[in-house]
Amino acid sequence: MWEKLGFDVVQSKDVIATLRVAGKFILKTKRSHGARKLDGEIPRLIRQQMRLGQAEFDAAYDCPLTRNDYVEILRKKGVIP
Amino acid sequence: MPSKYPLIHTQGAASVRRVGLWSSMGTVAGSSIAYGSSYGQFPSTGGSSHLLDVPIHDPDVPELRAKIAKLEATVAELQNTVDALRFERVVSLASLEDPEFRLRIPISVVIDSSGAQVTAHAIDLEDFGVGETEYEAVDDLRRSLRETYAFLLENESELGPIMVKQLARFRDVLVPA
Repeated sequence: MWEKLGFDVVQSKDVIATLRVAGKFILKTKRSHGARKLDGEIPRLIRQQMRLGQAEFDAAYDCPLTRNDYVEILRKKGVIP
Repeated sequence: MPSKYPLIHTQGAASVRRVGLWSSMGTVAGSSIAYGSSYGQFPSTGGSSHLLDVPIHDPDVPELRAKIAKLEATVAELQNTVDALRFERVVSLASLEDPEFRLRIPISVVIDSSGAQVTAHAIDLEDFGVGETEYEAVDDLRRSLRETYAFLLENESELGPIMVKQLARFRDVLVPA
């Protein structure tokens, strides 16, 4: 999901995903290597770090949301100036 | 046994059967109501019976089913909220266990154990840790906070507005050891 949305993904102790737009770090999120599955609070925490509503996150997870769509959502929310 | 339909008072099998009848009209055997009957008459259970006299007409069935579906969705949503509250509590984190930085004040951390793994979420600093136990989750949060702070400091000149604010909040609570 993150690569499709244009995040840079780095494998460290966690899987770290950072979104850069116009040279600026806009958002940073992560998931644990050890996470067996994304359940409980984890999806909600990732969604919040990505600044997405539930429906938007579902669209990102299920693929219809493109990087351009995502950047546009973040612009509307003021996350990207 | 707790009712799957807490909004409907249940007293014994007859009441349960009434719920089943409404959600699957015409398929309940053994009831005195048959599909197409104009009035629902249930055997008396000795309890409140005013709900038993609700007229049921065929044209009502789709509307009733829609209402039941809506109620079931609401109940499921409420159940999720109750579950989330049951597994969630707030603790204070007083130490980062870091030789370079310490917390100037304790920070609030939301512990959630509703999933397969426990999460520890520092809402104000927008960071979280994950573990098999609460202790592991809090330790993971400490590590994540140290790493996130290091990342923010290292890239300070390239941060967007959200991360500039995040760094400011880190600076409010973290001071050199």
